[in-house]
Amino acid sequence: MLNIVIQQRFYIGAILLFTIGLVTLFLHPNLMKKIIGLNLMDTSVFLFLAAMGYVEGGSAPIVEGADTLYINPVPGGLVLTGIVVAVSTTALFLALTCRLYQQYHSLNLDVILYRAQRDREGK
Amino acid sequence: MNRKSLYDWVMRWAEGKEDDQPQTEQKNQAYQAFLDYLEYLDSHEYVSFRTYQQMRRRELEEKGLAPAGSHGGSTEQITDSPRTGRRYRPGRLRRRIWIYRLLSVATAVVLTGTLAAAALQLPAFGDPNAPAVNEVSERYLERGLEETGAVNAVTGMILDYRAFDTFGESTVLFAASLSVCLLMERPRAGRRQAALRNEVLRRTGRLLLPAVLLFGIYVVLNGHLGPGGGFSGGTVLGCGLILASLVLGQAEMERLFSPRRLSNVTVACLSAYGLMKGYSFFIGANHMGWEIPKGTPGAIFSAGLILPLNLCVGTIVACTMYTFYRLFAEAEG
Amino acid sequence: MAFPYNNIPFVSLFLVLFSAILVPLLKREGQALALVRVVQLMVAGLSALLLALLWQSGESFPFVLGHIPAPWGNELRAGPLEALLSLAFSLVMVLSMTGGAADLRTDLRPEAQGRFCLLMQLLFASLLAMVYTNDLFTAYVFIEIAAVTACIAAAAKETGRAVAAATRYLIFSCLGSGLVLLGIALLYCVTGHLLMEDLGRSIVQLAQSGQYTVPLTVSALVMTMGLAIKSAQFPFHGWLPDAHASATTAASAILSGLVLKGYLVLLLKLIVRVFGPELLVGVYMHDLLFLLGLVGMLFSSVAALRQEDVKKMIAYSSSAQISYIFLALGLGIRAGTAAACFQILAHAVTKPMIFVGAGALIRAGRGEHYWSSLRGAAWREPVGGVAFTVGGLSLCGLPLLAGFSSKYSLAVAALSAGWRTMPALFGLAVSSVLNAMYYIPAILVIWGQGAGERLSVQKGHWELNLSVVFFLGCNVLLGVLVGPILALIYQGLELL
Repeated sequence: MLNIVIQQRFYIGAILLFTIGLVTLFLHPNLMKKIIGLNLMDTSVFLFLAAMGYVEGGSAPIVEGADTLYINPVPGGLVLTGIVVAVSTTALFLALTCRLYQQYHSLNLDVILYRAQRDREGK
Repeated sequence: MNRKSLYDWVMRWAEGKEDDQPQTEQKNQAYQAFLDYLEYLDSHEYVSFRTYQQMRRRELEEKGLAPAGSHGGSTEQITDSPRTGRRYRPGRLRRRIWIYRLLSVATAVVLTGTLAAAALQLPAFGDPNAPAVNEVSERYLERGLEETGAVNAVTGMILDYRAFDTFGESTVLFAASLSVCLLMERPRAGRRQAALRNEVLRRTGRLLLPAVLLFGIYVVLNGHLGPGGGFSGGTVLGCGLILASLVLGQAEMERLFSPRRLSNVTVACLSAYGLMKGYSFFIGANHMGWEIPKGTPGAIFSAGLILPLNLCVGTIVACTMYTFYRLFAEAEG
Repeated sequence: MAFPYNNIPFVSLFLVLFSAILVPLLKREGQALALVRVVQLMVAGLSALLLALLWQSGESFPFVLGHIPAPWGNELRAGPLEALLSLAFSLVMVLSMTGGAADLRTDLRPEAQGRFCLLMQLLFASLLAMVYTNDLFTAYVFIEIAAVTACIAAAAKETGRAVAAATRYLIFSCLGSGLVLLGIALLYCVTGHLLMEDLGRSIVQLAQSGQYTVPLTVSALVMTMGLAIKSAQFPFHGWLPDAHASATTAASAILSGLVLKGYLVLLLKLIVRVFGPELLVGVYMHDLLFLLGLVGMLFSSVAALRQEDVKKMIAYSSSAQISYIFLALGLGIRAGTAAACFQILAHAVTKPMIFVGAGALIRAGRGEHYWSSLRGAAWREPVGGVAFTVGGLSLCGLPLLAGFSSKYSLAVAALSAGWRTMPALFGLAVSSVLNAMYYIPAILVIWGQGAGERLSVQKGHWELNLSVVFFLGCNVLLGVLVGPILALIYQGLELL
């Protein structure tokens, strides 16, 4: 059991990070920490993909000779795409946070939702 | 009950009329205190609401603001009284904090358990016989050079074999930059951008700037020959643009890279990408065979469309990164 | 040379994406909306043509993107079902953009309107790609485009409430896509494929040999959960009411009519093509979907009952209608899947109509969403009132309308679903009654006597009138032609 855990350490690590990120994103009321959680979650999936692409003794897939062993290039491409997507969502999230902070002077989502609710009822 | 009153009753019921009393001043204070408490929790260790209130009172007493001797759980009672509003009443919010904690632990344990069980059963790390190393990935490595002309197999994959995904990916970036513009762009009045005031930093920045930009261009152009490509090179170029805006100041940047111009460049690059890939998808799918010559592998002008595609992607990424920076810096200023 | 109809999926996707890219070059405000609508109409025409051709020939075909065939390159796939969905999506898209145009002009800053149209066009492109794609990773990329653009659609009004709701929406959306990406990574790790056919084939092999059962199960669970979060199925629906209620009319209509459905189409493809019955029955996936659907349709309907905000009530009702689809998928038989497809279509044409109607009523009232200010609003804006009334009655299950046909086909499917028959029929009956309990009082309120202020009838805007007329037409069409459309769906499911 233990040696399987050690062998799969990258997968286990990625999963731990994924859970931490997910719980932070989902349950932490502070928006900035939510953004950090989101990035943690995305990055852990990239770690998972990168670990999956590794082949024992393989080198980076810059093709030079015919009989060299290379790592699997597919996960690399997927990670590249994933990174760009993560950057985009992070930027959007930050912009929304900025707007909310300008309007409600708080980063706590509970407080913001409460104030938005009160705005509406007062109207 | 006559018909008229029945009608009124249905109407009232349908309109969801509530007999809520307007909030009194006292209750508002309780809300406010609890909201402050929540914000305090965000940046400090967890304390209970009662401890927080005592702390707060002591603070005020030290400053001589609060009347001494007003101890007791009077505020506490107000927060817990059942008629304080319907939603978001402090008592409920406080319970929600505990629900948060419980939920976090439960979610984390269950999710980690399930996923770890899955991870332990996955093919071993680094296994050369793993299912993922199959005919699909082997073709990218073995025939990639002859089919795409790119030495870098990952570049060949994302810009030739699976170029549609990459087009989607650039579109995500485009969508995000437009969304950030929509949310953050404000009228010109009062815009101010951070610039370096320190002379030493500015001079050093000026010295570094050409090197950063040159390196970015190198990484973009090197995409099909080795490590590099539009996305990584574009990020370096974007950093160069951000450095330039710090060094040159806002007026100069406005002159060189006005928002309008940046958006036009992005649109031009994205549509060039779309046209090039649209052409190659279309002729490929219909077996028309008007292919772009591949050139000698390893030469700078080789690998068919990959070099121009990389240039387009690099420009899009650089412009987007700079746009993000500009808008956020303006919001802060 | 025969008509090259196999290019239609790619050409329509390319047209939509390319027109979106060109929008920033337009100089005048109204042009963006015009361009977007023209392209959507063109796509609708192309899809109709494709549907007609494929229905005759009864075939489905792949479209290789580039010169390298499928497991290496990307691939699209089109059959009758895909053509039908893309026809419905493009029609609803153009009708929502038309019906909500008046609110769009008042709710958004002038410079934001062009960008909004552009982002809606990108959203439309992502929906089309989800319908046509044959590759899981392409699906993920377009899910993310949908997430970004849908979130900004909810925030575009730029009121504090809209931005706060959009932030919550984005959080849930990111959570969902993170789970989907993890599921795709797990699947790729154990099979080495991203193409749906190859994935399905190798999952059948793995399920038979008993290898990697845990990773496969976890991946199926995680992806279903991710898509359920994104389509606001019951326990994960917390973000939906605020996001849909605080958006501008066109955005509400598109978000609730189409975006939720895009993810469901993907879930349907996953269930039918990737995770075959061998895997799903073994892990009780159908039972899970069935239970989620059953609880969701009751709970969301009860939650909709006492909303003071008309748009919130409609949004909760969306969540209930989504549960019907989950229930139908959870029946685990072909008839159930077909009923799910029909419900996707029926809700896609009904809910945007209700939102368009409600938007017009709110504008005719005092611009407020509360029932108290909507009393008698339908007399001032009869077209909006008719749209709201017919849509509400359709969801309550008035015969000859789309909602009734969808409930009917679901009930017929449930009859042959073993132990699930009784709970499904019970859920259907109770939720129909609940639907009536909130839509009928709502209809009474809007047609009720205004409190002494019987204002003159406004002359409706041509855009609103046109879109309501077409929505009504689609609704009646779906309600009456239930037989042929179900036959078409069966044919499409065979070829999926």
